[in-house]
Amino acid sequence: MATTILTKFVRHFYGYDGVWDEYKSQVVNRIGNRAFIWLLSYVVISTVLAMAAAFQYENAFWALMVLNVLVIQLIGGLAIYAIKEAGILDETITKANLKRSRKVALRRWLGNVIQFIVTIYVVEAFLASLLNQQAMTTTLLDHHLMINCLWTGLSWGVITLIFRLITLKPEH
Amino acid sequence: MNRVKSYRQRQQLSQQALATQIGVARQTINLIENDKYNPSLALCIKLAQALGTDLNGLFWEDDGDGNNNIN
Repeated sequence: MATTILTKFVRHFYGYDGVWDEYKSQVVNRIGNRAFIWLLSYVVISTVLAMAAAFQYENAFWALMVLNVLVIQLIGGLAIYAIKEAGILDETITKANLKRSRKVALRRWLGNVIQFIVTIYVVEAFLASLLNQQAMTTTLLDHHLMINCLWTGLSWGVITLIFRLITLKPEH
Repeated sequence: MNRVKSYRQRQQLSQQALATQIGVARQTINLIENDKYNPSLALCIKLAQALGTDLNGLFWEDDGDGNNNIN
């Protein structure tokens, strides 16, 4: 099966080294489409909340922060759970290689969390600088943005770690 | 129910060996054998070739009246 950049990204994101076939592509596309639809709906809601910031900045900020946790993390966690349920992460885990598999999973998880936090921090700072017509350096040093991104990234990380460790069981 | 499993066992192939031969994951073979995944035509042909049969042999069954029923 032809390997595209998207396939490589998905494989790296989910930490999958095995054979990538048509079944895996179909499942990832299906789950990705569903997640995209839910995230797009969330963008509409969060935009309305961001507009409310013009009137009540503090309340809108806290509402956005809580919604980020509830929605984005939940969707991310459910996507990973759905992918596991579909048999995508098909590394055969035995009692003998369970310890090594856990180590590999933890290392990949840490890398993903750091990537996620840095990405949303840079993207949000960039968007904020565009929208507020400020210098990127100003928005990068905004402590509200830092807290928001750290909080979002860490809570996403905790949820995905729990899902990953729960599903990492040896086959019988 | 398709006959992938019986043909595979007849050829004395493990799920892993068959999967490696046609370039898919072992889990995909397992899903096909248990009717949990409908493979594409290209994959069906690869399966039939690897198992030394044709698509009718793998996925169609005769109901006794000479009629073929799709699985």
